[in-house]
Amino acid sequence: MLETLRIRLGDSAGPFYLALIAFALLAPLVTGSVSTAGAVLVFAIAAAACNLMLGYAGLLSFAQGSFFGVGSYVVGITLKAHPGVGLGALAVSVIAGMLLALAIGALSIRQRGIYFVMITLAMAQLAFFASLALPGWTGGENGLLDIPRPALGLEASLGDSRSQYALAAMLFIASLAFLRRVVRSPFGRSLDAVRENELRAQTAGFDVQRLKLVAFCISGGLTALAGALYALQLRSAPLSNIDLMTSETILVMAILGGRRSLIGAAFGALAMTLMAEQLSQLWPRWQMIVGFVLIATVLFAPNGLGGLWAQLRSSRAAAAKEAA
Amino acid sequence: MNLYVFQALNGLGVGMIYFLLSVGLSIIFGLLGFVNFAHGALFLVGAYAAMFTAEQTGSFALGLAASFAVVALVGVVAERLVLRRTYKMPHEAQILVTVGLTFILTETIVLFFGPQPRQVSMPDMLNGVLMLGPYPIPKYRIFIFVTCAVIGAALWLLFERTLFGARVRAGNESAEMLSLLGVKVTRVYALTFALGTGLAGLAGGLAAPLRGADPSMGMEAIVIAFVVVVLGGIGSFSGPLIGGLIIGVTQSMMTAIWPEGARLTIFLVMAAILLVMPKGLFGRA
Repeated sequence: MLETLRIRLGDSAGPFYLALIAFALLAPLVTGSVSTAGAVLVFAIAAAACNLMLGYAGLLSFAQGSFFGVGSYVVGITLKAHPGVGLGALAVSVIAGMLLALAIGALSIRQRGIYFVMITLAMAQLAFFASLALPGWTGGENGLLDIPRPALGLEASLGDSRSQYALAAMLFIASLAFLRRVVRSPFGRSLDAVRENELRAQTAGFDVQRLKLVAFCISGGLTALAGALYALQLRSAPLSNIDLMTSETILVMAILGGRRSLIGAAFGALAMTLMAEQLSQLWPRWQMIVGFVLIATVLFAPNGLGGLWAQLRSSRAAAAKEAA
Repeated sequence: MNLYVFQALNGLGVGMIYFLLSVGLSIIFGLLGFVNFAHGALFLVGAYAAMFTAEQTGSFALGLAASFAVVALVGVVAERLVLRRTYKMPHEAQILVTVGLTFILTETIVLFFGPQPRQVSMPDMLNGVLMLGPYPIPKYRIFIFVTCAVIGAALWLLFERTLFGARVRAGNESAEMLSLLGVKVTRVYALTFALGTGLAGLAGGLAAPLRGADPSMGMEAIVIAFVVVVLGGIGSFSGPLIGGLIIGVTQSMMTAIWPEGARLTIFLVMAAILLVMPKGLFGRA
């Protein structure tokens, strides 16, 4: 009780926003390139949206890659057909992601525990094979190529790739700030109740299925936004975006960062992207290391990097109190 | 029309492999409450173990034996070292740990055998076709069907009619009570784990001559196993059998009707069944 009170009072929004801004500003320096940093921000959004499911709603979804892939296809299709809509195409992607989440959720959300996991996995495969079987929309194995970037009005001063980065950075900050509000809202608190004890939450009068479904739709919409941004950065929507591997990558980032930490998700995305970039040059079988890291994280640091950070902060706060 | 009957009969062979694959997953979940995402990767290891052994020794039978033995060994080692620690954890943690194990196993296979798909030959004795009325059925499919049916029957006898089976079922009810009665529960767990994973390996070994061996087959297998289990329910024998046959026959028939969409159809069938019967074909608590 006292502990939660302390967290609520001590954990104001200021440092969170500062950390987001600092992360967005420093990411290009840490990764050494604007395009890699752009990918980090995109996957940070996706991993944070995955955390909403995994850490707050308590649902492990393998469909995150489908939302990501659908987001990139929809932004591509929209911009190729109507280049005039500009950034409005991103909104179309978000809506598409939410609709897909609604459809997958309608089949899976009633199912408990592992059945939910299994159905999201199967639906992710459904989305993948559907993309493969509909080359007219998705470009099949080649992916959707030559997606025009909407004009941002910053190109003259920043250049093309930097203004894409600025767009990603703004949406990264907005998305994580939004997620922070969501998990701290009454809705987010009721998700906590559902996760901790579904039966009790139900008995207390919460509409458990609807809470989960809304969380799934928010998560799906934001993940689609990430996919759309990624497609703009690449100027294409490759088939691999909707692959199961994308779901797994997003999950690993979320776990590494800590399932109950939004800022942790950003660090998870950073760590995984850097690992992918550096290790893959050293050793083509680097994913084996990812496997070991994943196992070690789940077994020994279930709260990931974000958990370590929180531990550090609370131990420091305790030390400060003692000193005072 | 004849083509469809032919494809349906062919699909029974694939369906039985899916049964073998899913029943292992089901057995492990039934006793241990453990969700083994690495089951597909074990299927992959089984295929390569069978291929390698058959190439080295020239014996297909030894290859199949190796696919069971090697994978059972891998399963037991993984259970001892890592998976045992997760029995008390939520299912999500078990899935994530076995996703990690999947990465490790798949990359190990690529490390030793390379990423290219490999052909796996079948013994001459099983090459060719057998006429079943007007339908020429490949002998190998009949061999798969019979082998899997025999194994399925043996499994049923093992779990329903032997002391070991009684212990497994008792452990399912109350592991604590079983250990108080003087049974070494960890040993029952390890044996069950070996059996369940070994079956995934054997399924891989049997599937290899049909589809070749390649590193992506593990992911394919785990998805199929999950679909079968979602349809048929987990923890029983009849569920994986009927689920496996439905998926196998559907896939095989659709290959004739709409080749690009054959795999898509599996998932559409699953979605359709779930829409009508949200609890799967046999319902579940």
